[in-house]
Amino acid sequence: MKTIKFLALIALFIGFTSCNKEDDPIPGSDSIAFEGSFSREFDVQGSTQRATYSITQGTINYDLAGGFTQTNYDTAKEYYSSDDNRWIGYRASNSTYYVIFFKNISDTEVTLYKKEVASLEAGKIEPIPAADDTENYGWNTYKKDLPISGKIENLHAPQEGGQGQPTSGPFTKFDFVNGLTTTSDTDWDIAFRGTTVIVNGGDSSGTTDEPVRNGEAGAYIATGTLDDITSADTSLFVQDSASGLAIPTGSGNGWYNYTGSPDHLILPIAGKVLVFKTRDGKYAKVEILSYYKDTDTSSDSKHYTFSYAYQSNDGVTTF
Amino acid sequence: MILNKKNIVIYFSIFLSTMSFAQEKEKVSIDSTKTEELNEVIVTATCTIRQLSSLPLPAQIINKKEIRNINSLRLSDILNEQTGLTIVRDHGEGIQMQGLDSDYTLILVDGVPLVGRTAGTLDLSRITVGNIKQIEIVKGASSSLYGSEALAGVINIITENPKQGFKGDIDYRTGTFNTNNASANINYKKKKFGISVFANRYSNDGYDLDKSDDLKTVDPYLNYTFNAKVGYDFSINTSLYISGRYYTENQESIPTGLLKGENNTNEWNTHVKLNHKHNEKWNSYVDFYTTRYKTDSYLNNPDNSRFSESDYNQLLVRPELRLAYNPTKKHSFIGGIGWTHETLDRTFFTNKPEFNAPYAYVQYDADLTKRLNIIIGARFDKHSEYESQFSPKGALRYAFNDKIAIKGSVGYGYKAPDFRQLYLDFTNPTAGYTVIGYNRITTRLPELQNEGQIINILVPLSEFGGALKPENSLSFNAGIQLKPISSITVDVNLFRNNIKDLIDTQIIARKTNGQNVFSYKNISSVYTQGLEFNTSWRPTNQLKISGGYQLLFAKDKDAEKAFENEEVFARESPSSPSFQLKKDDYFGLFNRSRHMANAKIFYTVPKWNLNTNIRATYRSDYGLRDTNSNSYLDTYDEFVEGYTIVDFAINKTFYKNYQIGFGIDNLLDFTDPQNIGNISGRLIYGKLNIQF
Repeated sequence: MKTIKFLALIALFIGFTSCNKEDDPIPGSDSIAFEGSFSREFDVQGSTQRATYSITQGTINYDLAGGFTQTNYDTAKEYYSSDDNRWIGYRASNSTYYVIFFKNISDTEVTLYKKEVASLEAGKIEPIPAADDTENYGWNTYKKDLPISGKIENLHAPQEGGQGQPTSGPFTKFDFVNGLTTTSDTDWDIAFRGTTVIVNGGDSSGTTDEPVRNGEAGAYIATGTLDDITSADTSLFVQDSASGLAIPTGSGNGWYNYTGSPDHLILPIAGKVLVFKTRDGKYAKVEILSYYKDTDTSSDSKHYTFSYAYQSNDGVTTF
Repeated sequence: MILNKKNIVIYFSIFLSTMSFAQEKEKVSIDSTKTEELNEVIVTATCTIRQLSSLPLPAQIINKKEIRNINSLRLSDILNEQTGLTIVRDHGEGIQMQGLDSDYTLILVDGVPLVGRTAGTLDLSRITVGNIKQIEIVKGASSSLYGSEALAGVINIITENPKQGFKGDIDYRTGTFNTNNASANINYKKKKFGISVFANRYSNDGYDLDKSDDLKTVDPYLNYTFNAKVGYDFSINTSLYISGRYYTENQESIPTGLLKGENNTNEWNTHVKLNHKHNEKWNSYVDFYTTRYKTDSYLNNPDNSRFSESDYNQLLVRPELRLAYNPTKKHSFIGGIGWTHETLDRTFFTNKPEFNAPYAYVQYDADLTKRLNIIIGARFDKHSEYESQFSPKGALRYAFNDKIAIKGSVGYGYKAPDFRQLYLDFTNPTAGYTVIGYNRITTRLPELQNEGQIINILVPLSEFGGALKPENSLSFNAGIQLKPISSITVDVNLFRNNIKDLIDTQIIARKTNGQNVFSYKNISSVYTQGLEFNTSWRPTNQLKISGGYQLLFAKDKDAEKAFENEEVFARESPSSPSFQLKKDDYFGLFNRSRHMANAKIFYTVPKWNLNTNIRATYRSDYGLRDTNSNSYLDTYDEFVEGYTIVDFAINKTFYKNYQIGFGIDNLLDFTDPQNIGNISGRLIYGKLNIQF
């Protein structure tokens, strides 16, 4: 009890001193210097959850995505003081006030602590939690514009023809927004058929059964590890066209080498990262790891395993 | 010559150790008569009869005695035991010399070339050693005398000429895998007329290293070689030789469980040689050589319908006139003019291409002082289908005294684009890609385009306007010869070959079936460099111990650049994330061992009429293919483990004319079924030889 009293006293004191500031006529109306989208990823029972705070002057949007649980709500700003980085807002959907304390604010990340409070006034006197406070999920660090990273296993990309015959058959389409394959005619970014990778941008290369391209996707191949390639170079993107695909086909030209006799394997070239612009102008990078089911080269081919990172924020080229 | 520090250190440490060794030994004994090796002569190096020991070029001779004592059967067996040479199997048993592929070593029989490189390799197992007088090996580019293909060096097989009297021998060897080799030699010469006839039959049941499948590693085969040489001496100064050789081989072919077929090879050549001595100073030689190499292969489906057929029919005709002029004993000139006519009829060729190439060469060989010998020469080849070539060469040797000599040479070598690279028109029936020779592109590609097979052209046709350049190299050799005492010789040679304009395939267009059209282009540059060391010691007339070692670095210049620029990555397992490789991680070209070594002991017991020998050949780790997905051979790739082959032979002569022999090749029974198909495991054999 003593501690609480002491903290309350400090809180009052801090509130008091800030009231006295001459350049801050209305308490709690400071502008927020760290707008943007801040995310962190964590595991819950084996599935990756991603929490994102999208901070604007008026609202903080909270988005929780992932396989375990999903939620999304806006909290409208009621109060913010840059002195102790205390933010108080009201969430209409459940008629509840929340206080969020920020610390370690930089260009690339923030650390925050969120707590439900009874009222705006209660939020103002809520003491700043200690660094080791684990209540309310504790303090967590959120990275600015954290790309969505994932790994897709055994994406099946069958193909008809080939081996000298014209290739045909539907492509297996992939959507970075949901991180899943899709059958949508419009909401796809890249697509696979055999060893061929196409993008939802540009024109048909001339083979049978290519889907209509209705987006602005493009691609290029960068050299490096997936971690090395930290941003997209927007000057390099090319789209599919009748004169060739953005990801060139053929052994040694694009993402794979064909080993020839005696093993006849398709192996992804080490150090090749496929950089994509998505259908709506966002950026993603992909490292293809295997062309075989369960990454076992003695198993069925045309099963992609790849790691990727997708930057969901508009106009942001880093990932 | 570019050398790294390591090489220089090795060079000098060997130099110094042999020097000190030499001084110690000298005091102990000065040997008497072992002049046999001193008198060995070689014709390949200069096109003239030349003492091997005073030659300024790196060269070696394998004589008949050694071939007999080790009971060698095919040329590939014996070459594989020589320092710096190794047999590489790629559409036949080819030789790797100074780190260069078998495509770049010219193979001659009595000075004229063998043909039949269906896929680049000239199969040396084709050649029986039964009638060979000696094998001459000259290392370093030698296009200044021999033109195309003499990039890494030249191997010349010298066959016996008819000798006075009547004699002959029959030879039979049988061993593991039902290997049967039977040879007969008959020689007759009386006064002016001489004839020698040789026949060989070789058969083998093949063998199977991998018992897990139904297929054999090597299918059974049978071949015959017939050779006849007729000599006539018109006078003491004029002689004529006519020789003919015929080789035929039949091999079963069972590439998969379903398909069955045969490969048939037929080869013949005729060689007419007229020598005339005008006077003490002038000699002239006329050669007329014709050879044809033919293969027919087919594969049948299980219902006996034809699955595929391919044939190959190459003809080469070459007249050559050579003049030798020796104004004094110290100076000699040789010059030649000739003309090569070559045609090839082959499946996947739409036309029957023809090569015509006149050439001329000249060489000057002089002992400028008692100690200094130089050779300079050059050859010009004019060619109908590719750029004409000028190939110079220079060499010198300086003898400080009888014990120490240094030598060095610089030469240009080239290999002409082959018929395939110029004229192939091949579409793989199962995979659907197309390969078109360089000279056919401008007519063939528009045809494919009209047929609607092409989506787009990636390399404009205008780039195929000029001629494809021959692959070429500049080769440097520098060595030291030591003879501290008469029973010991030590030879060290440093070499470097800078090879450029290597011809490789490139994609020139995309097809509507998703496959590509390939053609050929001068692309890469590689270098090979290293050190060769040979020593022999004859403590007594009965015992000879020899050893050899080659250190080799063979690298692609573009690959080195890619590693330097940090553009190369690898994976630890096929599906793990990639990581970056460092400059030092680049190993070099595929199928090259950094270290190769051999050691041999030959021992004769005259009172028992017995000779025996044991030989060991070592080859260090090498990479056969990229296993971590970056197309380069780096230290993280899986390597074929180094290995040693030990061979043993013993022969005893009875009643002067009968010899029986016994031997075990590959005594340790080394095999590597996964990676090495041409090492069959232990071979035990017996031999009988009767002379009359």
